[in-house]
Amino acid sequence: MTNFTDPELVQGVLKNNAAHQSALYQKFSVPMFRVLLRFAKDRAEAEDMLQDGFIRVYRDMIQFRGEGALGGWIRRIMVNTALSHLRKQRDFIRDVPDFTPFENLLQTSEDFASNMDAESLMKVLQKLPPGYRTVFNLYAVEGFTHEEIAGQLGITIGTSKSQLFKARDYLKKLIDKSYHP
Amino acid sequence: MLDNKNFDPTDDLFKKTFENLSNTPSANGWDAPSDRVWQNIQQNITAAPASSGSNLMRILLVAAAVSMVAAGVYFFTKKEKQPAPDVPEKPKAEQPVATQPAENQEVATPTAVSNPASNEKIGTEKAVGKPDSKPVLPTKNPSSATTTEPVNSTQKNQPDVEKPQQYDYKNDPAKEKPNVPALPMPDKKQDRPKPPARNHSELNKQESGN
Repeated sequence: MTNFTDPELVQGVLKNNAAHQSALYQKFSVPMFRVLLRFAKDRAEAEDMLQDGFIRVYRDMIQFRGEGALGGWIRRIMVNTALSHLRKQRDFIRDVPDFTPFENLLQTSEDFASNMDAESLMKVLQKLPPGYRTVFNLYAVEGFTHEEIAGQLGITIGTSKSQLFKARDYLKKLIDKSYHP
Repeated sequence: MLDNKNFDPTDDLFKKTFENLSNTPSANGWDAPSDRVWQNIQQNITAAPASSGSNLMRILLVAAAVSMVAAGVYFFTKKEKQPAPDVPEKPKAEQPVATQPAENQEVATPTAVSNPASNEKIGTEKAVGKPDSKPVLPTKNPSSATTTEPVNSTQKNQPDVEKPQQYDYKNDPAKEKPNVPALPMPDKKQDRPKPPARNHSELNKQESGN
């Protein structure tokens, strides 16, 4: 794979250069696929999101002004693509009735980090209900505020907060089950 | 964006774990997309220029159709406007009116030199006013006739050939030969009583006889 700089990639994609298009995909497909795996329920859904996201990247490359990092711009497109996919799902934000919260099973992040790798955490995350998973991803990993989440998903701020609270407890429960089956 | 955020240990765990990964895929390939994704993307981005070309063709076709419709409307309206002057013909009754200035010598003579800027117009009117000149017949095209306009106040007194004249009932041929026969009017003389003159003559005869 030819190593192009980000400005070279941008210029090449704008000229519909196949080598630059391929190089852009090779450079960003893996990190973006990880982002989308956190939003999707499985690999197949994440791949659909990745495909749509990269098509939007090539199509909207002319809108990239080079003010920030190219990777950050592509990541925003991927997150927006994932959210548009999720919004198409009916009632993807809903409460789980059989949820039983529990507290103080895992106190610190060091407890998790010492025992789980990224792949395991991804599998735990994908077991969350879509609404919990989306709000948790946006708040904890992507750094959105509750106001921004409410605006993106068309929900109230209170719903965003409650979904985050329940997502955290749900994750703790799932992780505890994985270690205490 | 990170203001007033209450981070939980769970949040920190996930954030740090996913952000500290390298760009290379893992050994077992759980975070690498399949080749099918790139193949589908390639198909889409190679088909994109064709679609943009077809969009351009659509735009051109629509523009051509709109321009044809606009041209059609333009020529249609133009055609409607052009024959309009030929349609109204002056009635025959106005012909004697046009010849009136020729009979009147006082019509166009005084203002012939007064306004040099309008010599042509005045000249034509002067020609109309000459006794030897032929009378100007009303033209069928009223657009040329409307060019003669009064120049000054003296001409206002002159009979304007093109101005709508009062209807000349005396010379109206339609009146001489009416298409519709006039209804028989009751003879008022018959209804009248006998003239008293006859009675006077009889009285005179009677008087003379007497």
